[in-house]
Amino acid sequence: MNNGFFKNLIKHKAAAVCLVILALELLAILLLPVFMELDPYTSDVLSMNKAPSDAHILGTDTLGRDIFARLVYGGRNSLFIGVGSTIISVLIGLPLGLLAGYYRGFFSTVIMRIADMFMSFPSMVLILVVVALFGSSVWSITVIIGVLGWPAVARLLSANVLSEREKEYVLAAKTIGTRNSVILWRYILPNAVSPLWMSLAFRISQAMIMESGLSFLGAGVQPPESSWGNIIQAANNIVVLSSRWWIWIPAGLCLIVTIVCINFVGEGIRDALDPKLKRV
Amino acid sequence: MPKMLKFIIKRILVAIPIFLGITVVVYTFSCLAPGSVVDIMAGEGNMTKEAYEAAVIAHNLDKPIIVRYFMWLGKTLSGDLGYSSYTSQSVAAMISARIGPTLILTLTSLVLSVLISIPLGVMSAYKPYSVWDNLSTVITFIGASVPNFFMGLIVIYIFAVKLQWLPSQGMYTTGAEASFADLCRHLVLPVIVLCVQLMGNYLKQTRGSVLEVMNEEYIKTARSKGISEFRVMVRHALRNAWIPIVTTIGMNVPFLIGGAVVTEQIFGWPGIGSLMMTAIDTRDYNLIMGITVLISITVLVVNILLDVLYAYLDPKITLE
Repeated sequence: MNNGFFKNLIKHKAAAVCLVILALELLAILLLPVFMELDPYTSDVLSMNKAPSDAHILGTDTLGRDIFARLVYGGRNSLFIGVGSTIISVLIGLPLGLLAGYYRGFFSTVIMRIADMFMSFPSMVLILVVVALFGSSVWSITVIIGVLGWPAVARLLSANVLSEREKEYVLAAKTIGTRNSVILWRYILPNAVSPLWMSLAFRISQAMIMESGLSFLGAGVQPPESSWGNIIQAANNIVVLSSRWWIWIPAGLCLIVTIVCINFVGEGIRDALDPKLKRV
Repeated sequence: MPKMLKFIIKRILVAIPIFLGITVVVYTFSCLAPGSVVDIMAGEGNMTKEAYEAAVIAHNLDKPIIVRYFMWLGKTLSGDLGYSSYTSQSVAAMISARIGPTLILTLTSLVLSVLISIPLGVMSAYKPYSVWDNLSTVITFIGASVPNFFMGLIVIYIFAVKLQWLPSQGMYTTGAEASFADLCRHLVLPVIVLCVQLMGNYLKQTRGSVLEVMNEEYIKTARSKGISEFRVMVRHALRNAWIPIVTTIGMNVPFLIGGAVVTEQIFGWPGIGSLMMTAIDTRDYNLIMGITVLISITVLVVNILLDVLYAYLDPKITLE
């Protein structure tokens, strides 16, 4: 990645706007609790289900907790899970994909079959089972979503390694006696990895969608901790759904805006890395 | 077609170790879960030490885990999924009562979304930046960015709460006689939610692969022969763009079952997904395992069927 990459990314107007929105959001989530007094945990029994007012900018939820504070802290959890689980998927999938693409034979067959097994099973169901058995917290959700994401990363990478290993520069390196590990790490990886960078943004947004769905079902981030998904869970109640919009709509909007922005930035990254791939 | 038969048998042979792998994982999970069946029984009433030990032997809990796994596998394969530790009903009976509703919901959504998105996708590839193309871009965008549960809440809010046009809970109106028209009314909202999400993928894929094919020489050849544009699109372009579309549809089979958990839960749909949620809430391990085994078998069978379908759609695929 060079200077041209960043220039190209800025040229993609939607991506540039989204990048700014994401940056502002990140700043808000990280810094607001430092400058403002935000308390997402304490229930104010005297003001439950209050509409937005001066005391609570976005009102209070069914337990009298400040919605705005819960949104900010929930955003921290949602983004942490999205980014954290993506890092875990890459940490597992990248080496396995590299090895499976380079060393053909029994090893790669086993890896790819296990990947098939993971991918052919509905991950939502698997996560629900694991969570039911071992409990759920921000960390366990991050780890589970991350671990379940490795096959997609490994597949993407091994397909690219497979085509790279037949190229002449690999043969050249082999003839002068370069060790396999050096060929893989120094020569093949940089050439095979760019589609992975392009897909990272989409993985983050997918993980966030998964987390919010789990939390909405009550199997994700557990109260008193908040996440955008478990804030929306309150709308399972028909009274909240029909007449207390301030409880569930803002969290949904935060979630959608973030996912849209991450996806646009992902598209921008893809176009910037490979202008040939532009939408026809 | 002996070659095809050989191919199918080979695919089944490959699927068996995958299935066994899933059952090992599932069984290990169920054993790691805190509290055995006997502990749950003992928790309910006063049990003497002798009775407890007898129950341990009766449930084979004294045997090593590998032996128990094979006993469980044997029972499972013969269709005996055990009894729910919560309702004491047979797990197989509980599951089979719920399969119908899930199939009605997911198959309706699958068929509708394919029927809408393939023509729409072809249209938007044929005329980029037309009304059709913009419409499909909007649907793809919503499908990729709006989480399905939030979409569900929004449609309930608009169509059930504000406009009061459609029911938002269950399969039939409670108290009323079950009728087809009533079922259809209850289907509309959950099907909309599932469809939008599925269509996003299909539209993107159809548009992309048809666009790619459109530049091929044989499309020009077909046009130069003077046949109608419709025939060029359907007989020549779509025929060659089918494979990636079928792949996308196949990749959605796990989603249809998993995604249906959320959709069924929001709309109170009495299917496998909401049964799964109940099983998880009540820590009903036998039921959880039974559903998991059922889902993995379904997914594997669908994958084999899809492979066969590929071979049928694309004569260029060699059956190896």
